Amino acid sequence: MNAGGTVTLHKPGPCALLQDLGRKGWQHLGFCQSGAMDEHAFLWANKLLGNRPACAALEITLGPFACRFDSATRIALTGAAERIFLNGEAVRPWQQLPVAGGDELRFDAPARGLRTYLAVRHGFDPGSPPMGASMAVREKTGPFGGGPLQPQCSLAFRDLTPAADRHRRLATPARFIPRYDMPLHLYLHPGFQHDSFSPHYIEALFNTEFTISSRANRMAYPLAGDTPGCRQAHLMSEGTPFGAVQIPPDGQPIILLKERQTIGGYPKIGCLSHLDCFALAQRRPGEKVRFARGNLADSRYRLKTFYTFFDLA
Amino acid sequence: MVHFRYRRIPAPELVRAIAACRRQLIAELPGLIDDCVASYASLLIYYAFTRIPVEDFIEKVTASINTALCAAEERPPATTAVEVPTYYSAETGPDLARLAALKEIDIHRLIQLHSQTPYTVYAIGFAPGFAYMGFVDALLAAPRLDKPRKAVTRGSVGIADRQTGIYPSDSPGGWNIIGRTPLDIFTAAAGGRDNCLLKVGDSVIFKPIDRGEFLRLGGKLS
Repeated sequence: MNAGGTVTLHKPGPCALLQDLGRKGWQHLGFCQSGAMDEHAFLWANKLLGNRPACAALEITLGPFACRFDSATRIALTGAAERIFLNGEAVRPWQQLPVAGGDELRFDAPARGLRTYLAVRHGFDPGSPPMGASMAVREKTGPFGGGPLQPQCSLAFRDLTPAADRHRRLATPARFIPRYDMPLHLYLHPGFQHDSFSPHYIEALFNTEFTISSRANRMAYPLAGDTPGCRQAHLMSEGTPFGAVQIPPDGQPIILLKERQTIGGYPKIGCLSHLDCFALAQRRPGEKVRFARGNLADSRYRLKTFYTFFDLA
Repeated sequence: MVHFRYRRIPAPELVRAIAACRRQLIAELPGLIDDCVASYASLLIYYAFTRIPVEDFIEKVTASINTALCAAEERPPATTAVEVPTYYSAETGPDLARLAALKEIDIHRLIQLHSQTPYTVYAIGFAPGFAYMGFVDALLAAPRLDKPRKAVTRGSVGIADRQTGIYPSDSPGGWNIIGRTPLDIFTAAAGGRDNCLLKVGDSVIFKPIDRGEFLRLGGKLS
């Protein structure tokens, strides 16, 4: 056993962040929820290592990424990265990998998908920040002043890997590894101000192919499409849930994600399932999405199944 | 999401009743509520949906809220009153003179109008600890700046339409800035979640102070 170690990020890429499952009990004070954008990949990374589901992992947007481990541990990479090299030798994502002290890991910006998760056995150790390990870039809150993590920064991990355990090679079954270049349908569950929209607008929303805007980030994904504008009554600002689909007067939907503001005054035509938000978080600006009508009972069931699988129920 | 109906919205007594509902929900349903965001006329509840069927949860929430609303109707919930010392001046309020000129009133009159009535915190958002308070005298109502400032100093007191607010940290912002408080609105990042000076439903009154007192209370003029 060793007493843990550090990993030094030589090339963190444009936006590498420490993330967990987000903050609880802070939104009433105006702090965003934050947390991993794609919990599917995040939770698999922890599961592959036998970690608790909320262990802090690195969320690496695009790349190129390079880091060096100063001591032995086990790691798992999930999400977008495909061509990954450990000391120059190709290794596979979505499985557990042993690393030794001095090992160097790198990957180039992935060809599809957007975010890669790097988890270490027992998780990264952020100290005891009051709001947890999640960093929030817009707010500048969380460890490292909210990030993004800068080249040469070091992260501590608590690895205590029994050497005998190193032979186990857990891997995600292929059917659970998503293809991030598949067409994405976002299942909308009407709610909130849905009935304040004209049938004409609602029809257009479901018949339009939308392009993800270049302004898409961890806060929100604005979409651009050929939808009509919509006249709106004034709305008192109110809480804005994860996956809410806001429609500003120009009629171009905005999907609110992990770093969304806690309240907002645009009407919301409905809400997406968390699972669709996780899939969306792997789509890039310029890629296409469509809306479809969701079934609330079905979506609830699928989401509960998902969290049960990851021991979060 | 719970939407509240009331004879007029927004209303101080409504948002105070909503804040009371929030407190009661958190006390009565421990372990089931992850987050709970109150504002003008609504309460957004994030609940542990893997632990309880939605129908059961809605039933519990409805019962709890009805009890809290009945109690609030019988006896208005206690209101926390917060006094915010504020140095209204050209050096801390870049829009003070312009706003007074625009409204064709004396700067002293503007200060008096802003500081004579207690305001209610209707919502917290935009940034951590940023409280939307209302409502300022109709004479002081002013639209947001056409071009938001890149940097507004923390503690700045501003007006937008008929709302007033305090910037809890240095940030970009488009409100008309008329003064600055030396108080630390928000130290949660360092301390804990109870360290926010303002909560939804609180009553806030601004107290004009001079330069000397501003500095004595730890205010910074940069």
